[in-house]
Order: sequence, then C-alpha cells, then structure tokens
Amino acid sequence: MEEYLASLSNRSLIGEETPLISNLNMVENIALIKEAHENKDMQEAQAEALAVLAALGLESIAQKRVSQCNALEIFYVMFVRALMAPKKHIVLKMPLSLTESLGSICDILAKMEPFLQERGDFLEILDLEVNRAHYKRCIDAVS
Amino acid sequence: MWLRRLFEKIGENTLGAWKAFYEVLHFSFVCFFHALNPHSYHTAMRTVLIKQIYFTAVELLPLFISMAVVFGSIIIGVVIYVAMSYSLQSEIGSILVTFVLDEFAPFFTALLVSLRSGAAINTEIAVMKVNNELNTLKEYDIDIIDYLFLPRILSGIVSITFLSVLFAIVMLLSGYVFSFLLSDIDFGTYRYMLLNAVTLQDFVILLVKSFAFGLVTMLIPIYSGLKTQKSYTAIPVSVLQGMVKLFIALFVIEVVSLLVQSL
Repeated sequence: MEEYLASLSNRSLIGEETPLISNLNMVENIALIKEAHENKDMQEAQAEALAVLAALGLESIAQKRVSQCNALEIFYVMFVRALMAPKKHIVLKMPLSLTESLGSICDILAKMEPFLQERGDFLEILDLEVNRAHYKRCIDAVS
Repeated sequence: MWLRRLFEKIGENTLGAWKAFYEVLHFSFVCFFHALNPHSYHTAMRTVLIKQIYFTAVELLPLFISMAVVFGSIIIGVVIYVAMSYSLQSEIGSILVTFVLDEFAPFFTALLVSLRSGAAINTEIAVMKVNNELNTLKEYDIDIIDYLFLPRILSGIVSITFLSVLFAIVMLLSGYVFSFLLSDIDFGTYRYMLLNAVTLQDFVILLVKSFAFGLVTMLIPIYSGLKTQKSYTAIPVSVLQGMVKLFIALFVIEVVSLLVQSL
C-alpha cells in the first residue's frame, strides 16, 4: 500500500499521516489550503470553508479545535480540507483508523459525493481486504 | 584508560557542538533565502506573522512596561546616586546611555521574550513534529519554512527590536522620576545629559543586538523543536535543550558585542 501511495505524486491524502493542525480551529484548517495555494484573503477563505461546513450541518464545530471534536467530525473536516486542495485525486487511506466505525462509511461517502462531483474530484479508497464487507453497501449503491 | 575515555568524550562533545552549530547556521541561511523570496509571503504566512507579533510583543506590553518602569526607577536612580557620590556628575549621561541603550534594554528584552515565546514556540513545533502535523503540511504542498518558521523568526526580530527601544525609552523616563527624588535634577538637565551622551553608534548597537537576539530567540527553539524524537516524552527534553542552547547563544552575543564595542 505504501509503495502504491508513494507512486501517486499528484494526490491529496486523507489518513493518519495527515492529521489536522492542532493549533488551528476547524475553519482555519480548511481555509489554510486556499490561503497558501491561491493566496486568498483570510476572510474569503474562511467564509468558503464555513459554507461547506454549513452544507454538511457542521457549522457548530467551525471554531472548535481538534481536541474539542469527535472522530467523525474530524474525519469530515479532513475530507473537506482535501476537497479544497488543488489536486483532483483524493486518496482515503484506511478510514477505520480515522472513524470509530466503518459502518457509517457509506453514509459519509454519500454525503460527500455532491462535493466531489461539483469539483470533479476522483476519490480512491485504500483499505485492507478484510474490511471489504463494510464497503459492500457503497459498491452496491454505485452499481 | 579513564584519561583516554575523558579525551574521547571531550572530542565527541566538541565535534557534536560544531556539527550542531553548522546545522543551525545552514538552517538560518535557508530561512534567509526564503525571506528574500516574495512568493514566501502568501496570505497564510502573513496571517501567522501578524498573530505571532501580537503574541510576542503586544500581549507582553503591560508586564513589559511595568518592569521597565520598576527597573528604570530603581536602577537609574541608584546609578545616578552612585555616580554623584564618586563625583562623576559629568559622566551620568554616558553611563546611563551605555548601560540602558547598549546593554540592559536589548538583553533584558531578549531574556523576557525567550522565556515567554521561545519556550512556547519550541513546544509548539515539537508537538507538531510528534503529532505528524509537519507531514500534513508537506503532503498538502505547504512549505513549512514559509508557513511555520519564517513568520516566527521575522516576528522575533521585529518584536524584540520594537520592545528594546520601548524598554529603553520607558526606563530612561521613569528613571528621571526616581533620580529627581534623590538628587533634585530637573528634567531639562536630565534630558540634556542624555541627549548629549547619545550617539548614532548607540542606536546602531541597540538595533544590531536586537536583530541578533530576535533571530536566535526564534531560530534556536524552532530548530530544537524540529529535532524532537517522535515521542511525547521527548517534548520536554527538546524544550529544555532548546532553552539551554538559547540562553548560551544570548550570552555569547552579549559577550561578542562587549568585545566589539571595546575595540
């Protein structure tokens, strides 16, 4: 898995290797990408981040830091942050290490799908074979 | 046998110290070249820079001004009293300017900012290293020198220079109050003594020392934080080592400046 990841040069990674920045709140973590890459004004970048969080029903965690959020909320913010990155290929590595239960993974992906389609991003999930059953519902829904 | 081991240990430590010194020097040159690149100053970097100047300088102001008033009142009053008791009234201006502008203001400011901001930054970078957050920045193509290190280094230089000048001014002004009570010097005479004694060299020394202190106050804690081993128990060790190296660097700068001034 590591060798495959290393071969993908143009991707945004969501995984244990890319945690949120602990001295920034959720909105700042997301806005950082636009501020650094597109040189967007801080207010504009944070407004854009807040809009996406609001669309996901997560505006209540906007000003919270990592230690104040649960695993699911952190996972959503990591996903939104990856959406903000200029790279179109998003790799989700071992979601079980980020969420408390893989049972909700299909619901999470269904919620994020409109955003992925809007941006034209390609999502790739890397996981262990033993977890395949957890994705059956998602695969059935697509096919 | 033990003598051989002793010499080996001394040699090992000396080589280690030189290696660390070379690495810090190399790191500072890399940061310097990033500082010259206009592309380094993106929105995220400027946001961090403003926040750091606020945390380093503005938040410190109430305590800082209080200490300048206390030190100014007592120390300058005592200096004037002692100078007068040795019939050195004509030299009071030079003594005060040399002591406050060239030595006390920049050094005391550097110590205060080191204790407060240096330790905090060392801890912050060390925690980010242990938590893998530096890797996040790398994965998302955010240059860590531009985003993390450069704003902190620049804020250190700007803050310590500004605070040193402010400290000197407040100290000299409050020193007049105490000296007036002790020696009946009127404000006009006090002002004349100081303005007559101050030279361009004193301002250059103040600015150069503030710049050097500001640079090391941020650079060494950042470098120490980067060298932290990947374990939470290594963080306090990193901060301890960083602060020790920082204080040694502050004293070295002070000693070198005294030697240069004596030439």
